[in-house]
Amino acid sequence: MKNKFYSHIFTIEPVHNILSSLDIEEDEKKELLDILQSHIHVTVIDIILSELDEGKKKEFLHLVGVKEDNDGAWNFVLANIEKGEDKVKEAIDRIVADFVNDLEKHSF
Amino acid sequence: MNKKSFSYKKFHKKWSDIHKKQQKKLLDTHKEALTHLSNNSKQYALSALGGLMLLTTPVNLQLESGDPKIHYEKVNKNLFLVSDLEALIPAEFRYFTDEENEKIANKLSEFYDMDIKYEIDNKRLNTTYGYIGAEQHLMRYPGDTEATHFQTNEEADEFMSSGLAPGRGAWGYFANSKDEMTQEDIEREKYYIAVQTFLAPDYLSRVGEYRDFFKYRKMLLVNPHNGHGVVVVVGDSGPAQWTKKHLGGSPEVMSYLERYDGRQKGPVLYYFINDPENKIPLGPIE
Repeated sequence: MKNKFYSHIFTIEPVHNILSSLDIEEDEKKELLDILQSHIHVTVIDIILSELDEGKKKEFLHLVGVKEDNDGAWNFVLANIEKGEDKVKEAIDRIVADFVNDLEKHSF
Repeated sequence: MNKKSFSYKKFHKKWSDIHKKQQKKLLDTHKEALTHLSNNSKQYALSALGGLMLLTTPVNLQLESGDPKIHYEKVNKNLFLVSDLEALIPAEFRYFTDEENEKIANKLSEFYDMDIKYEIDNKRLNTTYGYIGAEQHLMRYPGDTEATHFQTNEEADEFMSSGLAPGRGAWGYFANSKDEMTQEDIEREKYYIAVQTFLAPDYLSRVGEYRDFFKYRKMLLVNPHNGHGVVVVVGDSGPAQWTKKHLGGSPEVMSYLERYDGRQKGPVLYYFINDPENKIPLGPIE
């Protein structure tokens, strides 16, 4: 997946590690990583939009969707959302932790 | 190193469901801003692909070859329709009230830019929402067979297995002979549905009036769960009430809607298209 504007604040290394210990096909691993990354993206966008008024939402979506300006989008988050980095990081870390725990629960 | 066994399908389903729920929440909660972007994205949808595609791309959707701009816009807009329809359609299956029909027809008119009606000239079907079953191909002219029915090998490979109905449709053959068959006749058979004309209100006292009205009447058929819409004609009458189905679709229609028969059968919306000048083409709405 291409870098996102929040890619620098998290890692999915633990997910890669556990996936490589499981007896599944490569395309299945890729599929699960795609789901995880999509889910993170949707969640991050939701969290950010929930903190903005309608005008700012459009401004932010324009930066992300149209200009694909990762630096601009991240600076926008920092400038317009109080503790924006903490909120985004916390949400991503929680998803990754849930994903890892669930991978373990489903392996035997 | 021994690798651990893993319940891939179970895990995949669980996280796909979690993800879909989150996608829906996002679309519902920030609809205005996302719709604004979607409506204004025509000139730069390609660049939007990288930044926002994941918001609306269903899990499991592999990007196929072709124009990614078209693909993005289609997926994106269909999901908005799905979300809107979900708010208008009752959770438990039942027939709609006139008020509900009006709202859904308006929504479909707006989305597809067509004049969609649940009633025209005081004529309507028994329902606009029903379970669809799979029909067979219909003979288009005397002597039409499985060997002559398909225009390409690809079509034959995909759709021949559905078979050709032994009888004719409710309106007879689509053309008197192969030589007289027009492109319109071909498309009418390809994109036909069978509806329960015989259950229309006051049918018995208005048989002639209804017959003329229903014959090749243009309709919009929508799968409310994926937003796929197809323009069809009423090409046959049925199915019988005991089947517990409300309408039937040609093999091509069922394939496009991604609806299946049997235990997996699902409901569709079907409304009249008011198209007096016959300008709206039949087939999937891309």
